[in-house]
Amino acid sequence: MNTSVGSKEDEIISKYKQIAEESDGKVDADHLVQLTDSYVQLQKSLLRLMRISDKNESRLQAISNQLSKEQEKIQGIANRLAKYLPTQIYKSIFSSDGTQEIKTQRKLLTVFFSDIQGFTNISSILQPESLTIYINRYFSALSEIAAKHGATIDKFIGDAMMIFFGDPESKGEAEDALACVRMAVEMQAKLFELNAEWKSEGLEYPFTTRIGINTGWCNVGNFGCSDRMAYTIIGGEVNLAARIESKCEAGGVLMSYETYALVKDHVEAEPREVLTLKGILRPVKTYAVKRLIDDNEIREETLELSLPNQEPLRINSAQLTMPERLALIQELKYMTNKLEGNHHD
Amino acid sequence: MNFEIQATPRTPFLMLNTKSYRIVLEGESYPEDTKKFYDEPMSTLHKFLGMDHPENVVSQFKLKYFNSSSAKVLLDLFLVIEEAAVRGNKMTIEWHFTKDDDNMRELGEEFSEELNQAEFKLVSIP
Repeated sequence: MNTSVGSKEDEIISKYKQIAEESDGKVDADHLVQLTDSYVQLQKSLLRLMRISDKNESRLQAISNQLSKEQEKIQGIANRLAKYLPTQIYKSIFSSDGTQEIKTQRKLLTVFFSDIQGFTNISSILQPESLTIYINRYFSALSEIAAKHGATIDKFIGDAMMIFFGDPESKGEAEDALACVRMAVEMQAKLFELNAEWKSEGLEYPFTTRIGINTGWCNVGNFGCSDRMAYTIIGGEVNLAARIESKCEAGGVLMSYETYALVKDHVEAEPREVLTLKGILRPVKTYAVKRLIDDNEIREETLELSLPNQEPLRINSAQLTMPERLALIQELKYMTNKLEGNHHD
Repeated sequence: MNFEIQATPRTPFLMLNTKSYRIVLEGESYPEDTKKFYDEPMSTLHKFLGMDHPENVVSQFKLKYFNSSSAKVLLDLFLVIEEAAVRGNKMTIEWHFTKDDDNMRELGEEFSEELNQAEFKLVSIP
C-alpha cells in the first residue's frame, strides 16, 4: 500500500483511467457513483485545506503586523536613547549580541575637560529660562564639533563637558591627541563667534571656556552594577586632565606634556607653569596652545596693514596667546562689518 | 514498527508506540520537502492504523504551527483514523492547543469535521 502524500488521489485516478480504457466507451453506473464519491471527498478535502490555508495566512499576517509595530516601537526607543548615549557606544550596543556586562579595559586615551569660567556667578544672574537656552546652545555647538572630530562625549556635568579620544575607536595615540587638540581649538574659535552673537542678543556675561587636555592610560568600560551601569573612563590621568583644565586661562587650551609631545609638529604651543598638584606625584609640565600649524603654511610672524593718513596696523601674531588671537579675530570681523556699513553690534 | 523522530525547528516530534497504543505529533511543521519528511513515518502510521487493535489508540496532536502541505498530511491521517474507527476500533484524537491560541483550536475543529466514529477531544493547555 503506497501511503505517500497524494498517493491516494493518484490511485483513484489510475483506477478509473484503467476502468475507462477497459470499458470500451461504456459507462458502468456503479463505477460512476464510486468515481463521483471519490471526487466529492477530494473536493471536500480541497476546500478544507483552502480554509486552513486562509486561516494560517491570516494568522501569519497578524503576526507580521505585530512584529512591524514592535520594530517601530523599538526603533523609537533606540532613537530616544541615542540622544543620551555617545554615538559610538550607541552603535556598539545596537550592533552587538545585546549583552552588556561590567567590564573594563586599560587604554591609552586623550582626555578633555571644559567648563565655563564664572558659571556659578552667571547662573545666579541669568533667569533660569535664558540660562537653559544659552547653555543648550553652548552644548549643541560644542557637541557638533566633538562629533565632527570623532570624539566620545562621556558626560555633561553642569557647565562642564568630559570627552575622550581613543575608545571605542582609535586612530592611534598621536592622531587621537591631535584630533582632540584640533577639536578644542575649533571649539574656542566657535565660542568667540557665539559669544559675540549672544552679546548682541543681550547676553552680558560671555560663556568663556577653559579647556584642559591630557594623554595617559585610563580604565575604560562599564562601571557600576549589573542593574545600572555607565560607560565611562576613570583613573589618575582623567583626574589630571580635569586639574589641568582648572589651571587654564579663559578662552585657552592647556595640555599636558604627554599630549604636547604627540602633537608638537602640528601645534604651536608655549610652555606654561609646571604644576604641583595635590595627589599627583610628579610635577606636571603644561603647554598652552597658541595655534594649529598648517602643513603648507609659510609662517609670517608680523602682519602689517598700511592705512592712508593713519599709522600702519602691526600685529605680531607670535606674541599672542590663543585667546588673544581669537579675540583679535573677532574684533577685526566686527571692524570689517562696521566699515562695510553693517549695523550689527 | 515503533519509531521516534526528534523535532527540528521546521519539523515536529513524531512518535508511534505500539505497546501503549500512542501516536504523537508535537512542535512545528513546515518542512522544506513535505513528501520527503512525511512519506516514511506516515506509511508506518497508516499501516498500524490499517490493523485492528484491542486497546484504544490515542493520537495526540500538539502542534504550534503547520503549513498547508502539512495540513494535507494531517487530513489524510485523520481520514485513516476515522476509517479505523468505522471498522470498530476505539480511536481517540486529542487536539492540544495553548489556552489563548484560538487559531489552533479552530484548526482542530476544522479537522474534526471529518470524524463521525472516532472520538475527538480538544485539550487546552496553559
